[in-house]
Parts: sequence; C-alpha cells; structure tokens
Amino acid sequence: MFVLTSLSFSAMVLFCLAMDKHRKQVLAQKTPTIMVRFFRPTAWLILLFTTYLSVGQFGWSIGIAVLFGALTIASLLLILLLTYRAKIVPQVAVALSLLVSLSLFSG
Amino acid sequence: MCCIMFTSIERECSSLANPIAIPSLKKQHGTIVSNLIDYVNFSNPRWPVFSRVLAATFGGYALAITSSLLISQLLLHVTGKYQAIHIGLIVTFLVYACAAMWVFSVKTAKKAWIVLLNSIFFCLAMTWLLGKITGVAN
Amino acid sequence: MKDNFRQSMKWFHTWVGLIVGWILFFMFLTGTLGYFYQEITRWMEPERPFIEHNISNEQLLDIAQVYLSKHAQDIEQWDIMLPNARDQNLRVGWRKPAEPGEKRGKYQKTVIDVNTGDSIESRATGGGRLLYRMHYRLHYLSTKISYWIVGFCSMLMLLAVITGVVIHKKIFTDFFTFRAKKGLLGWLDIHNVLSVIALPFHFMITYSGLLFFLFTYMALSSNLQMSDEEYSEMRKEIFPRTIHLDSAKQPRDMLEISNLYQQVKKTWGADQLSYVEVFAANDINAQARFVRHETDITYNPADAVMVNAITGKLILQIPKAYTVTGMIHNGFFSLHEGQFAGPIARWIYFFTGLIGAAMIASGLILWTTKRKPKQVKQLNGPDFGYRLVEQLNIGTIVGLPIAIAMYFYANRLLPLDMVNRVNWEVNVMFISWAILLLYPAFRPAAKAWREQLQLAALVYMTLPLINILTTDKHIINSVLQQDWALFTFDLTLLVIGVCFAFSAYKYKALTLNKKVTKRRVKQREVTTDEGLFTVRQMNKENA
Repeated sequence: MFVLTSLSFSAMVLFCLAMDKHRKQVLAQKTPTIMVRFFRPTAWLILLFTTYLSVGQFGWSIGIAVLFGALTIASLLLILLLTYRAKIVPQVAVALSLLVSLSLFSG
Repeated sequence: MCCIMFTSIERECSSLANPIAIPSLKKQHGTIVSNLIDYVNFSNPRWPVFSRVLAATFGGYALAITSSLLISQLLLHVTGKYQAIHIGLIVTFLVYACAAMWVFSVKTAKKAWIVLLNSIFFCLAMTWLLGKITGVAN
Repeated sequence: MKDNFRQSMKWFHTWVGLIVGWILFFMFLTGTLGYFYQEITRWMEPERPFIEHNISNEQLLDIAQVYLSKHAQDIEQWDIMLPNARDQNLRVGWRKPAEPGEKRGKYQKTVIDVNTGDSIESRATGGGRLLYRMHYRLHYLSTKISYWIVGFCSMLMLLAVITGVVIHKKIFTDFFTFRAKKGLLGWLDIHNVLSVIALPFHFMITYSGLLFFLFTYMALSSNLQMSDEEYSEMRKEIFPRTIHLDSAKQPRDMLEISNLYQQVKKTWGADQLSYVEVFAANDINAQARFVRHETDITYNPADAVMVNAITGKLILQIPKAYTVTGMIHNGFFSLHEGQFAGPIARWIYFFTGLIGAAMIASGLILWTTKRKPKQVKQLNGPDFGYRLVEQLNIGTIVGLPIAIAMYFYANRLLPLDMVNRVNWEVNVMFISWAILLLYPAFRPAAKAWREQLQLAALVYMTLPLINILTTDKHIINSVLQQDWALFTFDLTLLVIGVCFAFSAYKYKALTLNKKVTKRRVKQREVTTDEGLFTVRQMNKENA
C-alpha cells in the first residue's frame, strides 16, 4: 500500500511539474522545455505501472478501488505540500521513489 | 427552509429573465399544452423557478421511469428479459440527474415542460410500439 | 435559465447543496464511522474480554462447539464467528424457534470468553452498528419515510457531484491549486480540492447509495414490467442465496467442526477462516459452510466452501455464472460497504469518507463566507436566511461531532440496568445535537464557533479519561494487553480532541486579530488560517 501511494505521489508530482504555474513554485531553476514534454507521458507510465502492481496484488476489482484510494491520499499530500512547503516536493518525491525501489527489490 | 429559498430566489430572479417577455408569450399561438402552461406561469418571477422545480422533480422522475421502460424494451432481445430490465433500472438515476440538470438550464420554464412532456410521451409510445412489433406483452 | 449553461449549473449546484447539505453531512459522518462499526461496538461493550493472542482457529472452533452443544442442542442452524482483526472476540449465534405470533425466531448472538468457555453479558447498547445504520435509516422515523428522505438527499447529492464537475472550469489546470492565503478563494479551493481528489469515491458512493434501494425508488418501473414472481426470480438472479438442505429429522453425529476445517484449509491453501454456518445440525443432512474474507468485489465462489458434516467431504458447488448487470450491481454494493477492505484500505475508506464530509462542510462554509461582507453591512443586520445557515453550520459541523461524542459518554455513564438503555444512549446524542443547534441563535457567530470548537476539544479529550475511570478497557490496559483496536480508538479520540483544540486556538487568535486591525490584507491572511485549521480538524474527526 505504501508502495502504491508513493508511486502515485511520484506520478502526481510529474503531472504537477508539467504545468508552468506549479513548476515555478517548486523548482528554482528553469528546466529545458524538451524535458518538460516528457513529464506527462512518464507520469502516465508510472500510473500504469502502479495499476499493474495493484491489480497484481489484489485482483482486478479490489485492485482498482485500492488504486483510487492511493491516488486520493497522494494527491492530498502533494497539494498540502505545494501550499506550505513547495520547495521540498522534488526531494520528497525522490526519497519516496528510493524507498519504493528498495522495498520492491528486497521484498 | 422553503421561505428562505423563495426570498433569496426572488432576489436573484429579479435580475433574471426580462418580465416584459412574459406578456409576449401570451401572443404566441401554441398548442393547448403551451397555452395551459402560460396560464400557470404567472408574472411573479418566483413561479418560473417553482415551475422548474416541479418539472425537474416530477417530470424528471416520470421521464426516468418511462426511459427505463424504453431501454428494457430495446434491449429485450439483445440480452435476457431480466438483464434488460435491470440495465434500464440502473440507468434511471443518470437519466433523472441529466433531466433535472437540463430543466434548469433551458431558456424558459415553459420550454422545459414542453420538451419533458413530449419526451415522456415519446418514450411511452415507442415502448408500446416496440412491444407490438416484437409481439411481447409488457 | 441564466445567461449560459455554466452559470445555471452554478446556481443549481449551490441550491441543491444548500437544501440538503446538513442532512448529507450527517449521513457522511455516520456512514464514515460505519466503516469501523465493529471496532466501535467493541469499545462500547467493555465487558467483552481483551483479545487473546496465540489461540489457533481449531481451538476456537472447539470451544464454540462445546458451548453450542450445551446451550443450543436442538437448534438446527447455528453459526460460529471467529475473532478477526476488527471484532476480536469469539461469537456464536443461532436462531431461536419462533414464538407464537412470530414468523421466525429471533437471532441470538453471544460473545464467548475463550478462557472460560462461558458467554459474556455486555451492557445494552446499540454500539457502532446503530450509529452507522442511522446514515440510511434515520432515527425516529419510519423505515419508509427514511428511505425516501435518504433517497431524495442522495439524488440531490448526485446532482451536486455532477454539476460540480460541470461548473469547475479549470478542473485539470487547477487540480493542485490551494490558495490558502486568500480568504474566500481559499475556501473555494478547499472545496474544489476535497471534491476533486476523491471524485471517483464521491460519485461511486452516491450512485451505489441510490442503487441500494433501486427497487424501492423505481418500484413503478419494475411493477409495470414484471409480475411478483418474475420479480423474486430476478432478485434471486442478482443476489443468489446458497442452497442448503433442510433437516431430515434423522439424528446423526457430526464430525468435529475443527476436523472439517482441515479439509477447507486444504482447498484455500491458507488459514483464513472468518465464520462457519452449520445447517441441519446433528442430522443426516448436516452441512457446514466455511466462509472467509471477501476476495472479490463482485463474487468469488471460492470464498465459501460447503462441507458435508457427516462424511467430511466437500460438497461441490457449481460456480454460478454471474450476469454482467449482477456483477455491476453487487460490485457497487461491495464498493460502498467496503466489507472487503483490509485494515489499511479501511483507514483509507474512513479518511476518504471524512474528505466527503469535509467537502460538504466546506461548501456550506463557503456559502456563508461569500455572502458575509454584504450581509454584515446591511442596516438591520444579516438576513434570516443567512443567519439560519450560519447557525445550522455551527450546530452541525461542530455540533454533530460533539453529539456523537455524547453518544459515547452515554454508553459509559448511563446506568447499566436502565430501562431502554439503547434508546436512551441515542436520545442523549440527539438531545445534545438539538441543544448545540439552538445555542448559536443566542451568540454572535464568531463566539459560537469558538465556543463550540472548545467544547468539542474538551469533550473528546476527556472521553479516554472517563474510560479510565469507568471501565478496565482503557488506553493503558489496552497497551499492556496489546489490544491495538481498543487502543487505537482511545488514541483517535485524543487526536480528534487535539485537532479541535488547535482549531479553537487558531480561531480565537484570528478573531482577536480581526478586532485589532481592519486592514484587508491581514484580514484575508487571518480568515485563511481559520479556513485551513478548521479543515484540518474536519479531516481528522471522530473514531
């Protein structure tokens, strides 16, 4: 469940960064436009992967429901962070992704 | 609750549809139905809203029911009888919701009523017709 | 009706939300509590023992069977419910033979103490179940009227959800926007954020809620199309019942239930038992049905295994082919009730339900906040409508949580042998809610908000203390016995109390600030803090 939420968080961060308005809030430096173009597709890929994990663990019916739950929590977390601590969003995303990769490869 | 609703609606409606439009409605040649509705829609700006509320609540419900009849009749030979009825029933709430939303977005309350009543009769007629054609008693 | 579609829908959305907002808040709050109703019931029956660790399922089945053979020898159909993560005591149940004048006998359930093998008598209480039943079966009203009122409110909720999406102009671009420091916009943003992040849930919960009474609300349609027999056949198709044999009135000894369970364990490949139903007990036709936790929202036939209780062999049940519409219908029910949810998914359900309640609350607060500047400038003070909405807001958004806490207080403090104790626990809840609804009429709005928030904080933080004083199932003992469900309940009460206290403190700070300075900018900053923290408090309400 933690894995699903963290992956959803990363996907949401990428969606968020794809928008100019929020990118200015979060990132100090400007990123090249070409890189930005990849944010959305990558985000969708991560979501697809998260769906795959969820369905694999819980089956089709419950898996989809759990996925929406993870997306809700991740979105809320991101929105609160954006409002109060926008600068740490990339760090949080990276940290969560690392933790997720570790847990995926170990257990 | 209703008193607050109507006092506030009155304030909002006074900025709504031009009251001058109302007498012009009387000039229209219309069906019996349309004349009847003219008679009911007094010039007080509260009435169109109340009329819409009635249309959305009862008319919408009637449309939901009749559309479920039509849907099940349409699907009768595609799926089994119970499935067809079931599908028709599950969709009723969506039909009701859409009908209610639509009633509050059309230009006049009169138009809402006319189209609603026409749709209801259409659904009933089609259901009956399809029933006769396919030879199934419903 | 207005100039364009979007504006008409905005008007519509506001009215639809306003008319039933408070009832919907009540439904959302009690329904959300319902996700933990077994845990709440357990807390409200402190006579039940702490959880026993380290007892195998087989031992539990044996203990239960011994009790049943002593107290229910002649009963044909009985059930054993094993302790699970939520309801951590062993239970047995059976249906008593019908009294003269009854169609069927009353179903009787008791908790069994695994150490002594005896039943436990708990205090008369409605528990969490009564609390969550209120959300579709409004208390004090007849079943029929409740169903129609609830249906009306749910229909308006559906309209609110759909129109909400339609009028949200920048639903994707503003997905992550929360302008906390901008007053009215802040409240609008909160309302939008809470609605959008859980939009699938809101739509699902509303539509599935309507589907629950589909055949009641659309009775006209089904009656026109089907006869009564066809209707019952259709219902059997959508909601199949398990077939079991009746007693043949030929006594025969059954095998031990724990023995039969070994067969079932082989089929499932795991020790996953939830409960056992025995049909035609001690008879030649005796069967036992072993059921585990749901693994599929629609239906997984392997979740229930039927065993012949005399021979111990599995009775093969042909898996029923579900119709697509049956799957959809049952799927909606399972999603709404969340019975399938394990502990983490259950907390997410709870949290999302609170988001729903907070969405409604923020919408109601948004309505008053938007109209406040104009209303307070009026010569004779604010309109009746505005004041009524504000009063209902205070009394419901803060008042209802306090009333629910009063329900818990009543559970602990009402005398155990009181007549109609169950009814009186609920009466206490509604009486306190009524008082809290009337009280803001006599206070200026800001003071009323602050005082009720403070009261809520006091009430929630003191409840675990009352628990320590009145029972032995309090927070300290729960930790010692490692009974985490009970511990979490008390802990959640404390957390809620702290959230309310924080909100009350922040609200006080901002109202004082308002008096000191009339600068527009400061005012906005200050209203936003109130907005934020009240939302935080709403987001962590209740257990």
